[in-house]
Amino acid sequence: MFYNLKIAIRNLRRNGLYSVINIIGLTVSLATCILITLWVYDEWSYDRFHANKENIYLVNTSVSNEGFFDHTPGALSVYGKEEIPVIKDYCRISWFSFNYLRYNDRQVLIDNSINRGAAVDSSFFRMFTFPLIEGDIQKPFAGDNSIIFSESMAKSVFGDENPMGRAVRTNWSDEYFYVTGIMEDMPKNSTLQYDYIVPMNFMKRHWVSYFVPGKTLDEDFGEFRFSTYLELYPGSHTDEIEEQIVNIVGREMAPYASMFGPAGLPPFNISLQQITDQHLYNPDGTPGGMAKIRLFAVIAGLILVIACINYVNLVTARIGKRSKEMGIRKFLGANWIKIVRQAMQETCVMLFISIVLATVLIYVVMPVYNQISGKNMEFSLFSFHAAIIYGVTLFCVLVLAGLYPSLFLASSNSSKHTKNKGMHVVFRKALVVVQFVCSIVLIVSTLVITLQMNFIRKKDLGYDKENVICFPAWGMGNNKEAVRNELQKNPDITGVATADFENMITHNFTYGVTWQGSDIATRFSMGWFDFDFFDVMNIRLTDGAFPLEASADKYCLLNETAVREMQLQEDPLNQIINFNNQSYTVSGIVRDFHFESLSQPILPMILICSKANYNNFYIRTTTQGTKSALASIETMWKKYCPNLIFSYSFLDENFERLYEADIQMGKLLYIFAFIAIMISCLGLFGLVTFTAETKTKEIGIRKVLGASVGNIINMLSKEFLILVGIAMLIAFPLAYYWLNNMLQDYAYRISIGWWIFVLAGLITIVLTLLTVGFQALKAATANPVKSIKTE
Amino acid sequence: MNTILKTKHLTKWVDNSSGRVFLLRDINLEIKQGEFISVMGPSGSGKSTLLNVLGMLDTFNEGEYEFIGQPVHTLKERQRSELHKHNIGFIFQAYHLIDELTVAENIEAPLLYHGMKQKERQAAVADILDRFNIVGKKDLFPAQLSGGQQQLVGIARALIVKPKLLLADEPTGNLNSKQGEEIMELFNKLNEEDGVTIIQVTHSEKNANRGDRIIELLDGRIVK
Ligand SMILES: Nc1ncnc2c1ncn2[C@@H]1O[C@H](COP(=O)(O)OP(=O)(O)OP(=O)(O)O)[C@@H](O)[C@H]1O
Ligand SMILES: [Mg+2]
Repeated sequence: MFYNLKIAIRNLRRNGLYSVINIIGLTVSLATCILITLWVYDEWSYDRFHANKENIYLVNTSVSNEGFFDHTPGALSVYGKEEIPVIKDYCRISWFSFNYLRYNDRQVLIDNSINRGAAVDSSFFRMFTFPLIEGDIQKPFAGDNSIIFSESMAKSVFGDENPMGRAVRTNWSDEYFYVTGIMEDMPKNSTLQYDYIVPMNFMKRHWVSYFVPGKTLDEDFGEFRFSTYLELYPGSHTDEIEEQIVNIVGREMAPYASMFGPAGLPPFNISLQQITDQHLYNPDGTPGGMAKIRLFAVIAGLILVIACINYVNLVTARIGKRSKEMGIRKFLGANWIKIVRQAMQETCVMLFISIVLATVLIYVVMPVYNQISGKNMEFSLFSFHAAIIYGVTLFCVLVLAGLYPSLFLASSNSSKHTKNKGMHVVFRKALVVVQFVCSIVLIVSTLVITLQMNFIRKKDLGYDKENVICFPAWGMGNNKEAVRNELQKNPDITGVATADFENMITHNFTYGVTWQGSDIATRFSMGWFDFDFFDVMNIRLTDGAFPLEASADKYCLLNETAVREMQLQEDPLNQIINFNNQSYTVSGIVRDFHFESLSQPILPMILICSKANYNNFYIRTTTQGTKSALASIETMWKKYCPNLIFSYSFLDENFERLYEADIQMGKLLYIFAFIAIMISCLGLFGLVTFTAETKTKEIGIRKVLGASVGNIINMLSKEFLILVGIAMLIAFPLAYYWLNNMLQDYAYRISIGWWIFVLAGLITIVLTLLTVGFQALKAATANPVKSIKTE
Repeated sequence: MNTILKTKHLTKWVDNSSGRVFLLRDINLEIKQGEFISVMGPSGSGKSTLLNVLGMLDTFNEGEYEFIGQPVHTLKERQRSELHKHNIGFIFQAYHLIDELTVAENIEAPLLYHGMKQKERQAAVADILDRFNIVGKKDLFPAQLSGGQQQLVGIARALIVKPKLLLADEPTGNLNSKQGEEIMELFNKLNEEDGVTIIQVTHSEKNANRGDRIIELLDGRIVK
C-alpha cells in the first residue's frame, strides 16, 4: 500500500506537466461545479423551509384566457373554504405600505423597495414557517391596528427598546398601530419578503368595492389584488378543487354578466401551484427559474465531463510510455488486480490533491461569487451536499478516468499493443470531439444570451429613459403648480410632469371596459397623467390629439395595442368607451411604450389626462445638469415635505435594476462558460504537447526531408481542426434547437442568425490554433539534428 | 568540372559550463560536381557534425560556406531550407524511416514538401520502387523489413527528389558486410551513371576506398 503510494506520487512528479494540467483542470472544474451546485441548490431551496410546504398552494387565475397570474379577488378563498371541505385554511396577502412611521419624536422614512409591507390574514404564521420571536402564532394580531415587524426593522425603528406593545403613528390616515409581534427576518430564499405586516382586517375596514359598490373585501370578486395561498388536507386532488373554485366564481359573478358587455362573463380559470414551485415555475406552469437551474446544472455537468475527458485523454495518451513499465511489472509477477489498484491509486492521489485545492479555491472566491450572483451562499466542507458533490465527482472520475485507463494498462501486452493503440486513438479522438461539442455549445449559448440581454436593454421602450429623475410627490402634490414654476427656473430642468405611474410601471388594470362591438372582457392597463407627461417622456401620438384641459374628463387616449385588440383599426378616434360607470371619447392614439417588464408583451392601455395631482414627479434634465436639478428638487422637498427624507431615483437606473437578476445570471454564465472553455483548452494543450513529444523524431525526419515550419504546424493542427469540424457539425444543430427553445420564454427576442454560428466557429478555431499552435511552433522550430537523436 | 560546394575557415563550436568546445575548426573544402568523397576519422571527431552543417541541418559559427554558388552563411533560414530541400538527400545509419508510414508512403514523404501533384508523386514513387526492386515491399511498414531493406528505402527516399548531393552518415553501419557491399555498389552506380555527388561518412577503409578521395577528420580539423 505504502509502496504503491510512493510510486504513485513519484509517477505524478515524473510527468510534471501532465500532472499539473490534470490537477489544475480537476481543481477548477470541481470548484466550479460546487459553486454552481450551491447556486442551483439555493434556487431550488426557495420556499422549502415551510414545514407545511407539501400542502400549501398558491392560487393562480386566468381571465379571458390571457395567461395565468398570481392575483385573486378577496372573496375567492372565503367562499372556497366555506364550500370546499378539503381546504383546511387560506391566507390572503396584499401589498400594503407605509411611507413613514413615527415613534415618539422620531420619524422613520420607509423605503418600500427595501422594507416591504403586507396585509395578511391571521392564519399567516400558522400556515407559513416564519417564526415569531415575540407574539402568538395562533393569534398574532390583537386588533385591526396591529403591526408585526421583522427583527431588523424593529431594531431600526425602536433601537434597543422592547417594541412589544409600543404605538407607532403612520401616514395611513394618521392612525396608530400597536406592535403585537416580532418575527425573524424572512430567509433570503423565501419568495415572500416582508418587513412589516398588518392584519387583513385593517384593510377590510377601509375596503371600498369599485366593482359592486357595497361589497366587503370578503365578498368582492371584482378586484384582483390578493395573493391567495390555500392549505389543503393531505392527499387532496388539486384539479377537483380548481374546478370547484371556477364554479363558485362563475356562480357569484353571474348576476353581473351584463357589465362585461354583450359577450357576458369572460372565461375564468384557476391553477393551483405548490408553494415550492412558485419560484421555479411561472404561474402558467412554464419553467421560469427552473430553466435557469437546468441551464446551470447542464453547465456544471459539462465542466465535469470536460475535466474527466482531459484526465482520460492525458492518461491514455501516455499509455505507450506507461505500458512498458507495466509490462515489466507484469513480467515480474504482479497480477492485473495489483496493476489496476496502482493506477487507481494514482488517480486517487491526484483527486485528493485536487479536492484540497478546490476547497481552498472555493473559500477564496466565495465572497466574489456571492457578490456577482447577488446571493448569500455558504460553503461548508462537511455539509451534506458538499459531500455528495465530492462523492459523485470522485466516483465519476474514478470510473471514467481511473478504471478505464487502468484496465487498458493491465490488458496491454506487446503483441496486442499496436491493435489496441489504434482503437484507443479513435476513442481519444471521440472524447476530444465531445469536448469540442461542449465548448462550442457553450460559446454559441453565451453569444446568443448576451445578444438577447443587450437586445432587451437597448430595446426602444417607446419613451426616453435617459436623464429623468423620479420622486414621490408627497406634500408637493397639492402645490404642483408652485413646485413646477419654481423648478422650471433652473435651466438644467427641461420638463416637469406628474403621473400615477411609479417609475414608468403600472399595476393598475381593469376588465370592466366596454365599447361598441366588444365581445370579450379584455384586460386594460390604466394610466393617469398630466398634460406635460408625454412631452417630458418623449411619448408620441400617432393619431388624434390630446383633449383640451377644460373637457379632459370626457376624453381618453388609447395605445396602439388597445386599438388593435379592440379591433378599432377602421376609425379609432371618437369611439366611445365605457368603464367605471362613465363614458369616454377616444381623442388620440399613443405610440406603444413599455410599462411592464420587457418579458411581457405590451398590453392594451387606456390613458387619461387631467390637471389633477398625481403621486409621482418626472423631471427631465439636461445631460450635464443632474446635480443642479437635484439641488433644486431638494430645495422644494425641504419646503413642502420637511418631515421626510429626500428620496429620488433615476429612471434608467430603475430600469437596469429590473433586469438585475438577468444581468447577474448573464455574468455567471460568462464566467462559467469561460472556465469550461479554458479547461478544455488546457486539456487540448496537454494533448498536443504529448503529440508533439511523441512525434519529435518524426518531425525531425520530416524537416530533413524538406518540411518547412509551416508544414509541420499544419500537420499537427490539422488533426485537431478536423475534430473541431466534426464537433461543429454536431454542436450547431444542438445549440440551435436548444437556444431557440429557450428564447421562446421572451416576448421580445432576437432571431439566431447564421453569423452567430460563423462567429462561434471562428472563436473555436482561433482558440484551438492558439492552444495547439504554441506547442506546434515549438516542435516545428526545434533543431532537427537534435530531434532525430531523441529516441 | 563545376564546384558544388566550398567552405572557407568554417568553424563550429558550442559553449558549455567548462568553456568553449570546438566541433569543427577551420574547415576548408572544395568539392566538385560528381565527386564521391569519403569522410573518415575516429569517433567524436566531428564527421556527423560536418555532414549536418554541409546539409544545412545545422548551423556554424564562423567562416563561409558556398553551395552551388549560393553563400549559405548569408541566407535566411527559409532560403536555406529551400536550397536544402531541392538539392540534398540524406541517408542515416539508423535509417530514420517514419514508423507509422508504409514503404511507399515513406518514399513519397519528401515529395509532399515539393508541391507535387498526387499523380506525379505516385508515378515517381512507382518508378523508384521499380528501380530499387522493392515493389513487392511497398505496403509493408518499416518494422517488417530487414536492416538492409530499410536502408534501401532510406536511399530511395533520399533520391526521389533527384538531389545534386547525397549525404550519407555511416549508411552501412548497422548492416552486415553483404548488405553493406550491396549499398556500396548502389552508391558507385548512382555516382557513375547518374552523376550524383556523394559524401559518405564511414569507418571502413574498404568502403572509403570506393570514393574518389578521402577526407580525414581529427578533433574537428581536416588532417588529410
Ligand atoms: N550539441 C552539442 N553539444 C556539445 N557537444 C556536441 C554537440 N554535438 C556534438 N557534440 C560533440 O562533438 C563531437 C563530434 O560529434 P560527431 O557526432 O560529429 O562525431 P562523429 O565523428 O560523427 O562520431 P561517431 O563516429 O561516433 O559518429 C563529439 O565529441 C560530440 O560529443
Ligand atoms: Mg557520427
